[in-house]
Amino acid sequence: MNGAGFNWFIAQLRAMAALAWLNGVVAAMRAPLWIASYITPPLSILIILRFVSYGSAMSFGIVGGLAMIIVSNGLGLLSDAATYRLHFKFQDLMVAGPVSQWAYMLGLALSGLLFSAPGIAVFIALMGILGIHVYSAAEAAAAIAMLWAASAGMGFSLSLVFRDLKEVWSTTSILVFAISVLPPVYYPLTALPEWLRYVSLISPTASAAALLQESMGLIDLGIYTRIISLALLVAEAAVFFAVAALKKSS
Amino acid sequence: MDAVILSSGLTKIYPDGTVALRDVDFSVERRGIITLLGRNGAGKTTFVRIAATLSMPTSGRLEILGMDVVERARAVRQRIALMPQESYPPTFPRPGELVEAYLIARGWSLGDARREGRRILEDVGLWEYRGKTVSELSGGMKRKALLAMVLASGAELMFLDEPTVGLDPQSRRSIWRILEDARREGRAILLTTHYMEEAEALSDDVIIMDRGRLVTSGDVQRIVAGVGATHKLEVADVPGIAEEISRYGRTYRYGSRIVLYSDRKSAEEAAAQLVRIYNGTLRVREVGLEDAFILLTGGAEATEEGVMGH
Repeated sequence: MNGAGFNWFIAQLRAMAALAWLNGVVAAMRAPLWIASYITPPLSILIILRFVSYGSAMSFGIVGGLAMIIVSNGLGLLSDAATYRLHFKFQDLMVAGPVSQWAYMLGLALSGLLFSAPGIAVFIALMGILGIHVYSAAEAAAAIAMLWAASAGMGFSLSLVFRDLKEVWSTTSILVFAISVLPPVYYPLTALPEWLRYVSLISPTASAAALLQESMGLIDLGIYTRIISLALLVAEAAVFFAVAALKKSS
Repeated sequence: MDAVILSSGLTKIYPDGTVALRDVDFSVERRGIITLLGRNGAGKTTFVRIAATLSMPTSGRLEILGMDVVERARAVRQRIALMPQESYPPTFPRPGELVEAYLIARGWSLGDARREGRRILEDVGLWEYRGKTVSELSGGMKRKALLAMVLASGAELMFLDEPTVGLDPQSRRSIWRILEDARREGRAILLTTHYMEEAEALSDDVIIMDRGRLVTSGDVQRIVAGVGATHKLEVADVPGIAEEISRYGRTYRYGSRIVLYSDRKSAEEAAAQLVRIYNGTLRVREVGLEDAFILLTGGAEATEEGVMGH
């Protein structure tokens, strides 16, 4: 990278930080209830699991909750980015200038992460309270990071497709259900027939949840499934980010 | 010095086959306020989006400040800013926070962004509302907050797509003053508007488009001179009136009105002649940009009598 390229890259990082501050920190200060809205659905499922399983499925509930918070946040970008593009025209205002589309997207994604950080902290605290150990912190961290990247990339790239906000809102809630409740997120991957396990791994939540479940010693994935899960997460994050960064809104 | 805008054969066809721009050729050599006029669907916003590097042309070439918008898109973006059509600021920040975040995102330091944020908010009259969030501001103030962001950027060329639409006359005029200040600073503004008096009051150069084609471009005087008349007389269309006044000049029908275009003397003679029909004084007015626009974009139908009379 030459000097001009390096300066441009640093400028894009500043742009990301400015957007994350505006859309994350400032927004959270003005409307703190939004933060709670990310925690309530996974917490509800956790409470139901506690009573239905008499506490035996709490570890899976914690993993599912973590995955659901991250994916809700990533797919929340679909709503935020589409509203900013279609209603406020804020995306055009920002990217018709020195801010690149990928810096704009990552800035919005980071601002969403700020919103979900308290929820993630609550679930990590619950892990401590419930005595759930993480045996491979690196595997868990990689799963969380890649799930965030894949879902944020998916959210932003889908936001460029829609032309009507009503479709966006309905699609977001259907997608959150389809990829954070249906696949093995709140239950073990090994509960599925073997052929379905690999199909389910296409969902980034299932791949991430499988890695998280293994990092906590809840299931044994085996080396091939572990590699496939991680590779799928990385590939999905890369593809969605590339689409989001390159696609023009018209 | 490079042309501010140089468009050669610019064409944009959307995937559904809609031809938004067709072989648009013009150049604007000097900085100042350049106004792009056209009816709804004329291609104004498509042109602005291509110029702002948000959309790709199908064919042809567009240079902004001497740089091709496709080949040198990143370099173009360093020197432009856009206030999109029907845009609104996010509702939760305060105006100062919006401007600061925008400037920092464009590469300004925090200190400079703060200083410039304060200066521009004072300039546009938003400083006293600095403690309010955007959601608490009126529609005019929200537009000013967006305008403040774009003006503060220091961009050499600003695209303002209908910045005064829906504003009350006072707010519109205060935005005019802000734009005139920017012009005095030597910056270029490409403005789109449907308000002809706005275009007439502000423009150094005017570009008129219709159905994706360039109709004409140049300064306001030249375009108005193209009408071929200096004065006009507008009356309600009653039976026989077109024949009555067509001997004084060219007549056109705009809906339920008949308009005579002529020189001052002939128009005043026609007015004197028609007083008995209309029972009152008829006013002869100077021809303006709105007349040129309507005539050039086919908004008026020449009456048969007017064509024959002329």
